[in-house]
Amino acid sequence: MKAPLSWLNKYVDISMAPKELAHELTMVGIEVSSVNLIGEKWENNLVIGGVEEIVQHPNADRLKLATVTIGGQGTNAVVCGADNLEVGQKIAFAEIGANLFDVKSGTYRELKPAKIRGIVSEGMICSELELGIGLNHEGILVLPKDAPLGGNLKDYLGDVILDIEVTPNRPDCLSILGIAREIAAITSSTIKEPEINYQQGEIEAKHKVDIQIHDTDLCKRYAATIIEGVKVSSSPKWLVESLLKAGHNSINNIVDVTNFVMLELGQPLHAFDFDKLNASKINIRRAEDDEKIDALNDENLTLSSTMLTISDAKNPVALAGIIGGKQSSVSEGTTSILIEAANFNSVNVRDTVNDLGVATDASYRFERSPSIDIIPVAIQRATKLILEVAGGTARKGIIDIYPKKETRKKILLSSEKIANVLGIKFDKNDVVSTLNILGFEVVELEGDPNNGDDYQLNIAAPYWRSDVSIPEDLIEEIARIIGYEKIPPVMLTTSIPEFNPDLNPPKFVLKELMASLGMTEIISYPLTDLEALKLVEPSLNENNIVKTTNPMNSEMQFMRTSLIPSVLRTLSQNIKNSRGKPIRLFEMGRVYKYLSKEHDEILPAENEKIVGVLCGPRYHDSWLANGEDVDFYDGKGVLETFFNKLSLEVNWAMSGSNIMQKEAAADVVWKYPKNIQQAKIIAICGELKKEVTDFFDIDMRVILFELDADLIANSIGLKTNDYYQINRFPSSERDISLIFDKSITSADVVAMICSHKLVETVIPVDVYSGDEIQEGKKSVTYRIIYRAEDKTLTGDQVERAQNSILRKLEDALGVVSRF
Amino acid sequence: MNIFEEIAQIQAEFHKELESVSGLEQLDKLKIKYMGRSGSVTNLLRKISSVQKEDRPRFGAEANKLKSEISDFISQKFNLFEDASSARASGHLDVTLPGRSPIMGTLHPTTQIMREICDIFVSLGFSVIEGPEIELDKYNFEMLNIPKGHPARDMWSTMWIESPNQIDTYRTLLRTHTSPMQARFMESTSPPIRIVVPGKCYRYEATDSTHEWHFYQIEGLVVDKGINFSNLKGTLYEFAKRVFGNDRKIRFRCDYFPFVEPGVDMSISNFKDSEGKRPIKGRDEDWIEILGAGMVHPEVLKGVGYDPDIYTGFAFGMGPERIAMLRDGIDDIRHFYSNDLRFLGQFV
Repeated sequence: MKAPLSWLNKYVDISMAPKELAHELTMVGIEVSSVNLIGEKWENNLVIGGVEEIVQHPNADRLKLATVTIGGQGTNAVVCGADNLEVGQKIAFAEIGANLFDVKSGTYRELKPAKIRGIVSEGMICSELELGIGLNHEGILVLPKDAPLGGNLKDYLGDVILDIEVTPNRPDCLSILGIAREIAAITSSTIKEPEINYQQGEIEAKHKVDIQIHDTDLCKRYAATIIEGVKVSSSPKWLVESLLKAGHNSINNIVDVTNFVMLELGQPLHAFDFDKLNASKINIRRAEDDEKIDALNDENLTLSSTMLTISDAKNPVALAGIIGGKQSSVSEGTTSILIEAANFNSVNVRDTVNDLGVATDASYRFERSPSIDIIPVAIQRATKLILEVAGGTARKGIIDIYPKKETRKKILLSSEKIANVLGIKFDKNDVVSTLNILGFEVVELEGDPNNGDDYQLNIAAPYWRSDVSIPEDLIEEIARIIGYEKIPPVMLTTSIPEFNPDLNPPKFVLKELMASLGMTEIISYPLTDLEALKLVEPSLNENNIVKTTNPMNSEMQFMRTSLIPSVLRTLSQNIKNSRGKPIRLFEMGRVYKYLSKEHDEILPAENEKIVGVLCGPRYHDSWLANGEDVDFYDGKGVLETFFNKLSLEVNWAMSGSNIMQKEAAADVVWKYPKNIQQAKIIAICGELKKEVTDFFDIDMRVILFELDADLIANSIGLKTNDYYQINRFPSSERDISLIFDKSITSADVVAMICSHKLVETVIPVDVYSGDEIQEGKKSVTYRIIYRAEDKTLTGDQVERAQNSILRKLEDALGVVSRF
Repeated sequence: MNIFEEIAQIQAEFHKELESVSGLEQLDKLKIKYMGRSGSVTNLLRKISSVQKEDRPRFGAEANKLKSEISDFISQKFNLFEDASSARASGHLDVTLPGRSPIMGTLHPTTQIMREICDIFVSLGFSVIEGPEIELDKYNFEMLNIPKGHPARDMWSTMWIESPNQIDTYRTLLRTHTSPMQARFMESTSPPIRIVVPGKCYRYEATDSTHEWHFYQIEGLVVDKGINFSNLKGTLYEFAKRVFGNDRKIRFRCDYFPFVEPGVDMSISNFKDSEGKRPIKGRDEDWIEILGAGMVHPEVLKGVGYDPDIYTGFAFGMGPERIAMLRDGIDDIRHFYSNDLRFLGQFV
């Protein structure tokens, strides 16, 4: 909403500086997004000119040569390309040296003398955009006929415009008067209401036209009046200028008045050419399916039975609350007009706007439910102004069809209620005067001392407000005008609610742990494409995937069922940017899936997963680094420490994952799932298949792991550590090199060694697969730490234990010592 | 030379070399020479397969003995040098060479700021809970006093989910804010309530330097008997002081959200200092909005079965990325989710 200061000044005296005013308005909830000074950059070289003659440019079909006078001796020859240029127009003329907005560079530039297609242009006829007062660049700005020739444009048009972002609850502030009322409240001044009285004719309006509301669910009130003998012409300066500054073009005096009153009061109006209404009838009815209307925006709209029309005896003449029809519009030959002001259902208007894709200043206001009580005021105001600018005779009275009159409910507000909501008591006089200045009528009642009330007020909202219906609304009114800064900050004093651990699974711990293990967290978009999802999960059923109907783009239509594609895309991008550096990424995020194919459940399941990738060299480039790339055991190492820190015991088993290289991946099986009978796979880890890395345009080895974060977070529970006594007897170390079948896992061997009671720990210290080792076998050296709980072991005791272990290994697993 | 002579030779050479070792670095080298992966002792042990079967037990015993002997002597010497730690300071070590640093991981800047914000509220007695990102119209709009056709719906352009259920209330969408958890949580529990809800949100919006279609929010909700606007102010002022520091001023102004009344927009000050510089880089305004808040609207309370004459509450919502951008001078929100390590790596 653009509010020119000059217009606001008609209703309220403003002595505050514009910037300060903008600040004060913003504080009370009327956000001023910018303060624009019209003509700030204009100097004496921008003047009002007159077009005396137009001839074709000799060298260009689309250009004209205009002779422009600025009142003194001589004229200026100006090259102009605008289609709307006409002889006799008053225009904004820029002399050489004027500061104009340059469309190409988007900045202000000084106008330089220029030859255009061989002809010197002695200045320029400006568009709104070039002047910096609007966005219109289609044609030149045409000034009112009575603009003083040679006059300074700055004196004529200069102003301050407040650009206001009106919140959806304040349709009354989609008007100059509404904003003026806010200013009056802030500055404790009084409002000069617009004049609405006019000379009425002898014959009543209702004898001339038959108006019927057929669909009262969509139109609660319809008011109209008729003016005969009007003369349609261009508007006077004050009208053109007001509209222009508020961002509207002038059309003709009648239409301009309807727009002016809409901007002034916030109530949209429409003027019909009365003689074009078939059988002098107005029917407010739903459209028939496929009924058509030629709208004022030059579109032929096809209507449906959900849409409300204003129709004459036969056809729709307007789409209710949105746009008028061409056929009945006010044009040069019009002599009788019908002015309409009505209330239309906001949701219905909104639906029609969405269905047809036609939004207007009127529909914008109707969507926000302006007060139904402004209607008669708006009709009278428009009639008064039309009589002023277009002459004619207004019929007596107005036609006001309002089948179910709504009375304004009074709202009871007690001092205690104010204190309950705001936490501070306000003095009665302050409350009453604040409400009064906003136009509320206040009746003081005795407070109920049992409630702790000092006072009670019975309050009626002013006729222009449609947004105040409960005590809390009034409390906001009081607080915002008195000032939010008057309410002191007080810390919470109520008791802290009980903690519910089930609602607080310790998920952040998992992220923190991952980062502490050298993994860098990423957060990627949860929407992706189907191909990538299917690549990482070939068995994925499309019916289970969550799909958006209006995706940002076609590559992001599906809610991810796996984090892997987005993590790999991020990896791929980073390899390009950080080649040769170690890259270790992880994401903890949700995957989304309908659990059954039938979409029985209303909402899909959302499960939290962690996916990590390791790629590139093991260490940063350094004098200490050996340049080796990461392998499976780097990924495994991260996970081992991760599970260790969480005190989760896991087993590692060869995995058959179809995204991993054969025999280069492991399933991580959780040994002790809480509340779950079977062991559960909580992670996979391995080296990605080439097919997968190729798809994501990655040409390096990638170690990837995926974890079920929900399962882990829900399982770790309270952090506890099992304490045991530190053994004070010394240990003995022995290394043994063992040879065994590749089919036997190291874990099997370790388990067997550990089963001896003197063995404390077994560490694999070397894996050897030289020439001496037979095909199908492997050689692993283990360091065994022997320790007894109750004594120092002798060499012999250790020797015996070791021999017994070796025998057992050979008997049970066929494992032999290399020595 | 047979294998046993070889053992003896290694032993002799070791002792000779050990004599001449004069510092820790040399000792390390010696250790590697004998005990490393391709050291003499390690290599010796590998020769087992070439030893005659009948000699193997003796070889095993002698080789192991040599191994422990060498290991023991090295440890002794090591202790000796350790005591004389002056050797390290005497300049044998170039301490300016980089050390063996473990690879450092970092948390995403959004995670970091969210954690920081949540921690502040936890210290004020709030619990952190989460909610679904795929939501029903009912929770995202209707129960928040934004019925179908409400003009305020324009404030939240929505990405919709394809679903066979097209009844308005159950229309499925990607939540446009974390506020649906207000209704969900109140519906499933009774007061007192003191929660913050961090999570992802989505809007059908073109992206630019200050708008992302995918972003995070942190919602706050407090409901109990006797909760008032002063408490809202006290809580959020405390929060803002802890995030932005004591020097910055905080401002409440009137604003509109359908699910609160009165409604609030909170800003922090960005005044020029004596040199004309502002605390927030690249923002030439005195006040910068950081969050929206207000007293929970009585309609919202009624909708979840609370009696608004007994219970009152406040709610607030903020964008953690915005908070991080303002505090750390990040100029473009699009950096956050493009995940370039050159960006992420700046947030250690």
